[in-house]
Amino acid sequence: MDLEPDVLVIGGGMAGLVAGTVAAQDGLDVLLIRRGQGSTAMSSGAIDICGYMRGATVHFESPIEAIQTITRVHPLHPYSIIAYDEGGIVPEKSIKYIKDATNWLKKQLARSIAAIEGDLSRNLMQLTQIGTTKPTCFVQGSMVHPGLYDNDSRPLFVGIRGHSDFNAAITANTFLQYRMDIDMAPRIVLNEMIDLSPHGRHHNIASIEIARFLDTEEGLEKITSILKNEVKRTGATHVVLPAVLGIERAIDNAKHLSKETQATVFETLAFPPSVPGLRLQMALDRIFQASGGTLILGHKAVSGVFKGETLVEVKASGPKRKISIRPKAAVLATGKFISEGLLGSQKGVREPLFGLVTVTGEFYDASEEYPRRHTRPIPFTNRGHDIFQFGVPVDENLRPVDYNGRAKAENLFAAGAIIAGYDFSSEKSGLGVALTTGYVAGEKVIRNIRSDI
Amino acid sequence: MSEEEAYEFVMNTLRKEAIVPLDHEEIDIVRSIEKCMNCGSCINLCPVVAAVGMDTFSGPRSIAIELSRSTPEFWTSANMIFLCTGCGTCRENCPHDVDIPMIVNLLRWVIYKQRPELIPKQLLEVQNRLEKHSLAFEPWEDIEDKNESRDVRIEQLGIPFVKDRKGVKAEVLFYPGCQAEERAQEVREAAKYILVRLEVDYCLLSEMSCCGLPARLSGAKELARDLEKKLISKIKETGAKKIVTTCAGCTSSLSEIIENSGVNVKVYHIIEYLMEEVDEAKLKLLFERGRGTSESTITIHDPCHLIRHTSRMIMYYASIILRMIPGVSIKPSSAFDSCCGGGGMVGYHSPHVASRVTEVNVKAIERTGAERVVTPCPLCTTQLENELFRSNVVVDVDDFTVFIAQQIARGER
Repeated sequence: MDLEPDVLVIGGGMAGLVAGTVAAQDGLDVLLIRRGQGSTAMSSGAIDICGYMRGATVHFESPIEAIQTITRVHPLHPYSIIAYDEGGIVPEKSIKYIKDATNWLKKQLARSIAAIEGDLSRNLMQLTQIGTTKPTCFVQGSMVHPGLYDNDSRPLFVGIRGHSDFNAAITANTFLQYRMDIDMAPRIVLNEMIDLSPHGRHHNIASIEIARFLDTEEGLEKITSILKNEVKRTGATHVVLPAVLGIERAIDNAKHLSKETQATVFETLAFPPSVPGLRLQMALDRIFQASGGTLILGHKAVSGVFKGETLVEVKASGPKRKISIRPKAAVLATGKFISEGLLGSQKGVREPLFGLVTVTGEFYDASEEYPRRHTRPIPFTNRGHDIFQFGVPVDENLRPVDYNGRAKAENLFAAGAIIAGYDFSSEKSGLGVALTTGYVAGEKVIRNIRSDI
Repeated sequence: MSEEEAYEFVMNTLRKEAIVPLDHEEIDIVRSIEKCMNCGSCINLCPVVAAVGMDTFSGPRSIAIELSRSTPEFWTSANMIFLCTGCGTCRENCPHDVDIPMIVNLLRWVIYKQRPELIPKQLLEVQNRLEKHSLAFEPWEDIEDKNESRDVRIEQLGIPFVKDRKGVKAEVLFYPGCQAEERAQEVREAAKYILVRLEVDYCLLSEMSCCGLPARLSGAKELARDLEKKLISKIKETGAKKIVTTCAGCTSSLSEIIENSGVNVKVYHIIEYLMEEVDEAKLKLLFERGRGTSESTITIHDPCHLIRHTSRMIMYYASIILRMIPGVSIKPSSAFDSCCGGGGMVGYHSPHVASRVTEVNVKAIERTGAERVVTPCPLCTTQLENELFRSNVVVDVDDFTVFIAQQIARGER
C-alpha cells in the first residue's frame, strides 16, 4: 500500500511531535515515523529555553535576556536563524516565535499528564536529584517548589528504601553546602528514608515502579500517611522527593500530598531517562494523535529520493518489512548521535538519511572531522563539548542547505537537535530549541503545502 | 596430532570448561550488547518489570549488562531469563538497537546446553512434543473428536465450513500455525473461508509442521533449526509463491526463516494479504452485504510478534480493514500495544507472571467499555480470554480472522 501523507515527520521527540501536531491541527494529513522512543523521554521533563551563554559561569536571569544576547552574539544559532528578516536578525522576531511556541505548548499540555508551569520572564532555579540547582524555564506541575530557598524554609529530603537513584542524605548535604556557599542556607535541613515497597519488597526498586505504584489508590494512601507523619514529626515546610510521583497522576498526587501534609511536596529534576521525561514524551505523543496525526513506531527512515529540488519519496524499514512514503513535504527531526540523526566515525560526521551537508559549531565542513578532536577530556565544563554543536546547516526557513547555501529541497525542513550551531548541554537549551524549531518548521511546512515558500 | 584431532581436543576442553562456542550470527548478537549504554529506558517500558517488579525480573538492561555475562554460573540468571516474554519492547525503544529478545534466546540455549536441569520442565515437555510430532501442541488422538470440536466451534461462530485443500499446487499456501491447527481450529477455518470467498487459489500443507519458534524460545536451537529445514522443504513442495498465516508468531518467525533460507516466497499475515493483494472494493463489497446484521463496539490488541517483530504497519492496516466494516466502532485501549503476557513461553512455566502482565491489558480493556477485543493472534486471544474471564470482565475476545470471517458470513446468509 502506498503511503501518501501531506507531511512526513521523521523522528518523534519534542521537535518532530511539535512540528507534526502544528501541521495536523491545521488540517494536514501527517504521518510520523520513529525508530522507538522519542528522545524527550530521555530528558528531565523540564523545558529549558536557555540557561547559560556558552562559556559563561553566570546563568541568564530570563530566557528573554538570553535570546536578546544570543541573537546578537551568535548569528547562526537556531534562535537567531528564525529571527532573520530581510537580511538582518531581529531579536524580537525570535522572542515572538518562542513566546508563541511556549504559549501554544502550555495550552496543549494544560490538561495532560505533563502540564507545565513557568514563563519566559524568568529562569527557575530548579532543585536536582543530587541537591544542586539548574536554570530552566518550564517545569511540570509536580516539580514546583515555591519558597524552598527562603531563609525560614525547613526542607525534608525523603528517600525510598531500595531505590538506588536517590540518596536523601547526600542530596540534603549537597543542597545545604550549596546554599551555605551563597550565604542563603536554611537553618535546618532534614532527611529521612521511608518504606514504600511497591511489590512487597524493599530492594531493587526502579523509579518507574514507584511512579506506577503512586498511580494506584493503595500507593497514594501509603505515601500520604507516611509523609503526613513525617511532616508532623519534623515540622517540614517542603518535602523533597525523587522524580517518582506518578505517571498518569503525578501532578494530582503532588497537589494531594501538599494539601494533606500542609507542606510543599515536589519532585526534583532527575537524570535521564527520567519519569517526568517519560510523562512529557507520552503527553506529546497523545496530543499528536489526538490532533489527527498518525504515529508509526519501529520504523527507521533509510533513504530518500529527490527529483530536482524536491523530496519525492522516503523509504523506511521496520523489523521485517520495508515501506515507501511519498509525502508532499517532510520534516527531518532525527536528532543527533544517540538517535543516529548524525553518525560520527573516524572518517567524519555525516547525516546518514539524505546525505546532507554537516558542519561544526563554527560552521566548517564536518564531513571529515574526527569527532574525538571535538570533545574535551573533562566531561563537565562551562565550555561544553564542540561535538554537540555539530549538525546540518539550515536557511531562514529551516531547510537544510547544500555547500552553496541553497536549500537541498524546497519541501524538506529540519527541526531540533539535527540543526547545527547550538550546544544543548552547556547552554541548557535542548527542549527549548526543539520546541521552537519544531513549531516554526510546522508553520513552514503548512505554508509550503498551502501556498509556496 | 592431525587437524581433526586438534579440533576435537579443543572442543573437548571447551566442553569440560562448560564453554559453548558461538557461531557468527550469535557473535553479532553478543556484539549488539556491547552497544548498551546502560541508560535504562528499557526498564521504564518493560511489561514484565511493570507487572512483577525489578526484584523478580531484573529487566532488559540487566539482561544486557549482567545476566548475559554470568557464564558459567547460570543458576544466577536462569530464574530471570525465562521470565522474559520476548515482546521486544526493549529492542524497539533501545537507542542503540540492542537485540535483547535474541540475547534471551541465546542465553536460554546456552543454559539448555550446559545446565539442562535449569530449564523449566514445561519447556522440556514442549520440546519433546515438537520432536515427536513437529507440533507445539499434543495432536488429537481421534480425528473424529478433532473434527467434532471444530464443527462445534465454527457453528457457534456462524462460520460456514469449507473443505481443506491439501496436496494440490497453488499460488498461496495458507499456514495456520500449531495453535490454529490443533486448538483454535476456528481461526484456521475462518481463514480458509475468507480465502475461498475472495477466490484465492490456496492450498494447505499435507501435514502441518511447526515453524520452530517455540523451540527457539525454549532454548532448543538445534531442534528449531531442524523444524525450520523440515518446513522449508514442505513449503518448496507446494510450489507456493506466497504464504499467508493467521498467527502473529508464525508471521515473524516465517519472515525470518524464509529470508535466511533464500527461498523466493513472500510471507504475509492475513491482514497484509487482505490489504496488499486483495482488491479493496471486493473486500468492501463482502462487508457491505452484511450491513445492518450486526453492530459492535470493539477494541484492538496489537500482538508483539506483529508490531515489534514484523512491522507496526500491519496493525495500521488492521485498523483500516476493521473500519471498513459497517456497524463497527473502535474504542482504543490505552494498553493496545502492551504485551499480553503469554509470549516467550512464560505462560507455560510461570502462568502467575504471565497473568500479572495480562492484568494491565485487562484493566485497560475494561476501561474502554468495548464489547469485544479483536486481536490477530491465537495466543493473545487465549491469554486475554482467560484473564478477562478470571477477572470477571464480560468482554468477548475474537481472533481478527474469525471476526472478519463472521462479517463476511453474515452477508452470505
